[in-house]
This record gives sequence, structure tokens and C-alpha cells, in this order.
Amino acid sequence: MLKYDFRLAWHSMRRNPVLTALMIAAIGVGVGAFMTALNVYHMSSKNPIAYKNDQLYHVQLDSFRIGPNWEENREPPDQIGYTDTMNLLRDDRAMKQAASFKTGFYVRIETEGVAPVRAIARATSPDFFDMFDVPFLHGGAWQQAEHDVAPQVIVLSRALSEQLFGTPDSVGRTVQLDDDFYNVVGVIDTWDPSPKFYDLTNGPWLSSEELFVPFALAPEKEFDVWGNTRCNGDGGVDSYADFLQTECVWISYWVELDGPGQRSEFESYLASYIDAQRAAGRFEAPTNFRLRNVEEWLIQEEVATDASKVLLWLSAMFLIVCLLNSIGLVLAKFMSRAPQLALRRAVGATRSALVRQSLVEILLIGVIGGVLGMVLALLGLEGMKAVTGASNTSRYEMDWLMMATAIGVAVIATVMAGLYPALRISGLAPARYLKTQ
Amino acid sequence: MLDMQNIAKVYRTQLVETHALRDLNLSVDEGEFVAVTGPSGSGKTTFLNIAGLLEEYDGGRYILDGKDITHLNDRERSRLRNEKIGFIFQSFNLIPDLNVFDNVDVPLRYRKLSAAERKERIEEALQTVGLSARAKHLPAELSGGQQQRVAIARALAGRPRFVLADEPTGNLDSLMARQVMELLEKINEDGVTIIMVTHDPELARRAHRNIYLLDGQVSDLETVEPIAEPTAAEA
Repeated sequence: MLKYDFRLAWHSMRRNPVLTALMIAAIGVGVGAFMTALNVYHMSSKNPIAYKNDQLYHVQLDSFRIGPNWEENREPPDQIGYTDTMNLLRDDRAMKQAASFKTGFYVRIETEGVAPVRAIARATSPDFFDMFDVPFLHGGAWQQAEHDVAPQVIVLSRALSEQLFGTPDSVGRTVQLDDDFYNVVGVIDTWDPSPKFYDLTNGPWLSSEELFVPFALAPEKEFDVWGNTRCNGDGGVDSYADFLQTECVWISYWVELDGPGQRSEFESYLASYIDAQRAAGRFEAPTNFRLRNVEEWLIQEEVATDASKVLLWLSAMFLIVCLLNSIGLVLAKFMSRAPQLALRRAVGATRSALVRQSLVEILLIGVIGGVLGMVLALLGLEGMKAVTGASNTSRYEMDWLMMATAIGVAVIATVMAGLYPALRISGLAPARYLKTQ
Repeated sequence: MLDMQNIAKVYRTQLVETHALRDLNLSVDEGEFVAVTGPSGSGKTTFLNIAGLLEEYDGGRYILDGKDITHLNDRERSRLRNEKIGFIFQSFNLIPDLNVFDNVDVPLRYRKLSAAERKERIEEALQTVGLSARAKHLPAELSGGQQQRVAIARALAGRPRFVLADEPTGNLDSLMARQVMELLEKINEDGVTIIMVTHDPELARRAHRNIYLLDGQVSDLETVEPIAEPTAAEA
């Protein structure tokens, strides 16, 4: 019977092509606008490493002085300073820990004809790769026995390796970063988590770095800080070594714990660490820190912005307007074939059979409208990509979940729009429409 | 077969109350060919709609094929319409974008018959009305008389116990009207009870019995004499 209903729906759609096209267009445009906004919101609020959400925690310590605007339990700075970084690394209380900051170099190789490349880099401790499941294509992370001693090595991105050496496998080759030479120990495959959860200080939609160097080399090589640096009352410094001694914060610090159970244990450690530091003359403010998992961190940093929420609400309103228009169109379409439905009632169709027949037609229109909406949403996302000019465009891409959602939204929306007309048309007295046709 | 006792039907608007049927009493036996006549507004169509379970009534009792239909729900009434009643309308009521075969198929679709059985019934019904060769034609490609024959085939395909015909020849010229009437008579000879509403006294005379409705009641003021059976000498 369902097959018959689909056949009748197809006949009905062809009978009134203009009305059918208008209905599909109304649904498609509404769904397209809504899905564009929903997709941006969905991708903005997406946790790219959700499967490790209860293992990865971001550390914030309030090492700043109490100033005139001090408030109790204020939000600590997003990053921590070098002194605390080294202390936490040495204490080694988590399963794994990654201290990192954004830097950059002019990259050269000895081969003639290859121009120097300005590359964005990340100085990090070696656990970074394992903690964040960075996929290695060749080689691996460097090994280091001490937190402040590391080999002069480098990990390249696949793209940079191909750009410099013409191959993704450059393990063992030598690269010059500014004035120093480094051995390539690993090449990672394309890895571009979006939002860039592990360091949101320059914005969540930046691309991942092109090369990685050992954090432990920073004091010796004096890596520039290309990310945010926030200082609190520290005056000018004369040297890199002096800078490392300040309370300026510029390092993202993440730990990997053995699930939520170890969280409270690590929090106790952080509290006792701050107390110990205060006793040693640091940490002027009362003990104040944060330990947030990835999701909590993304919410705290408001990665899903108010603008995308407003856009979502506006598009939802627009979808409702399109649906209200669709109700009128569906009703007009159904009323135009009231005599046929009356005939079907007369020859034995139950009211529910007619509702089903009408809903099948609506469903078909909804699916076609959904596909149209999906195409319009893809075009809308392309448009947003072009307008914003963002380097990391992943939030303007539609995944399978969103594509399925587009069809689902369209079908649910059209069924909602068509239910009233379907019930109304099936409830009409058949005798009224049989006398004349 | 059909027994109506004190059937009443009132149409109400905010200003007017119209009594379409008033205590209508009527019985039709199995195999009868009954013509229902009467002036406009006498309640003929309302009677036919109630007889065909297309409309509710406000009072009285209606027994169809031994079943009191007063308290039947929509599903039961639909099933009765589908299995026991065939409808023929003045304006044919064919679905314009379905071909002849699919139009005749419409009532069978609501009866859970196999495709093979539906095909057999449709072909048989089209053969009865002489339109087997037109099975793939659309209604618009047929004459008025042929369209009405398709409607008759649609009514017959369900093998109904009785057929309700509402002015079946009203939109046809005299030649086609005669052909359709002959077809109805043949169907009746095959044992199907027919109730036909008509304005045409000539057609009414060909029925076994005439019922004259006036002001929503069966009246004995005017009757149409049935055509006498021809004598052997006349034949």
C-alpha cells in the first residue's frame, strides 16, 4: 500500500508542478538557512577530541598579584608562566603533561632552489603528541629523559615536509630553523583539530602548526613567543632568561589524567602546590586555580559565540515562517484534489488511509526540500567561508551528521506543516465533493 | 437488503434549519432495481448519501445487509462501502491522471487483494462494460459514455451487493444514456441490487419499482408506472 501511496504522491506532485515547486522551494530555503546556521553552531561547539574528554584537563593558576580590581575566585589567566610550567613538569603528578606555546621560524634546507619558508611552530613537551593523538606518518616524537634537556630535533607537518623535501618522508633530514640546525625525527599526517582546543589564545579557528620543536630548548634557543603573553606588574626585562623568571603567562598547560577519579587528586596537588609557592613568596592571591576538561574549557572560552547563537535563532524563525507558508501551500494543494479524495472515501478508503496518503506526499516533498536545503546550506557555508576568509574552514564544512540532520529537519518540518492539512482534508464530508467534479 | 426506518437528516446553519429527510421509511430487497425520483430538494441525494454511508443521519435506524450501521466506526463503514456498495455518479468522478485500468483499480486498492486478483477483476469489469481495449487510455481520451462505463466498471470491480447510481445518465446524450441504462439492467440481471436516483421518467419506468420522494419523505402522490413486460405477440 505504501508503494501505491508513493505512486499517487508522484502523480499528485506532477499534477501541480508550480505549486509543488513552490512548496519544495519554501522548505528548501528555510531548511537551507537553518542548516547553514546550525552547522556553524554545531561545528563551533564541537569537541574535536570528545572521546578523551574525561582524560584531558587544562590547567590555570592564578599567579597574578592582587591589584586594585581584584575579586575573590576571579578567573585565572588562560595560560601559566615558565616557573610554574617547569615546576609542574618536574613534579610529574599526571599520567602525561604537555606544556606548549606558539612560536615561529624561517625554515631553510641545504638543497638549492628551495626558498626559505616562514613557518608557524609549536614548542612543546613530547607528551603533546600522545596526549592529543597526533597521527604520525613517519618516525615519531622525540625522547627526552629530563624536562629541561632535549635533543635538537624537529617534527614536521606532512605539508611542510612535502614543501621542503618533495616527500612526506623526511625523517633523518636536516632543517635549519633561523640559525640552528635540527634533525627531523617525525612527520605527522594532516592534523587540524577544530576548534584548536589545545591553544585558544589566538582564536579557536586557526590552523594547526607546521612544525614542532622541543619546549626544553626554549631557554637555550630563546624561541620567540608568537602567541599571547600576559604580564601582571612585571616591568621590562633585559634578556630571555629574565623573561623566563617573570610571572608573565604564555604557556598552555594540559595534563592527561586517569579519568575523572584522578581529577580531585590532581586538584589537591594544585592547591598544595600553590600553598607551597605562596610560602616561598609567590602567589599573592588566595589559592585559585581551574582544572577543566576539554568541553568545559571550550564552554569557558565561549568558542560557540553569541553571534552564532543569534544566527541560529534567526534562522529558526525564518524556517518557521517558511513552514507557515508551506502550510498554506499544502492546504491549497490538498483542497484542489478534494473531489478525488472524496471519491476514494466513497469507494472504501478510511480516513487514516487518506492521512497516510497525504503524509507520504508531504514526506516526498520534505525529502526533496531537504536535499535542496542541504545544497543551499553548502552554498551558504561556501559563502560564509569566502566572506570571513578564515584560515581554518572546518566549521564551514558539513559532516554526515549535519547532512542527515538537514534531511531530518526537512522531513519533520514538512510533516508538521502537512499534518493539519492532511487531517483536515481527510475529515471533509465526501458527499459534498462527489456531486460535482 | 436495505432497510431504513424513520431516518431523519437536518442541515443546520446559524440561521436556517433544513429538514432534508423526515422519518423516511424504505426497504429494498435483494436483486431489486429501484428508481428514486422527486423534485429538486426532495432529499434524493441526501437519501443516496446516507444509503451509501457517505453521510451521517440524525435519527432513525438503518440496516444494511442485516447490519445496523448506526454505531459503526469509520473503519467499519469504509469496509462496508468497499465490499458491499458500488457508486456511480452523474459526473463520473474519474481520476484524470490515472488511466482506465488504474481508475477501476482504486476501490480494489483498499481491499488487500493480490496484484493478480486485482488484475483479473479489473479485466473482467472492463470486459463487462466493453472497454478492455481502452485500459491504458486516460479519461480525457474517452467520450462521456465511455467515461461513465469506466465508472461502472469501477463500481463492479469490487463485486458489490448493491449499486447506488446518482443520475448516471445526467451528463450523457440519449444514445449513450440508453447504453448505460442497458448496462445497469444487465448488472441487475446478474443479481446486483440497484438504487438509481433520476429525474428522467423514461429511465425510472425501466426500474422494477419507483419511489417518489417529496419533502424528505416517501410519497404516494406521484409514481411512475414501470414499463410493462412485452407480450409474446409484441416480442
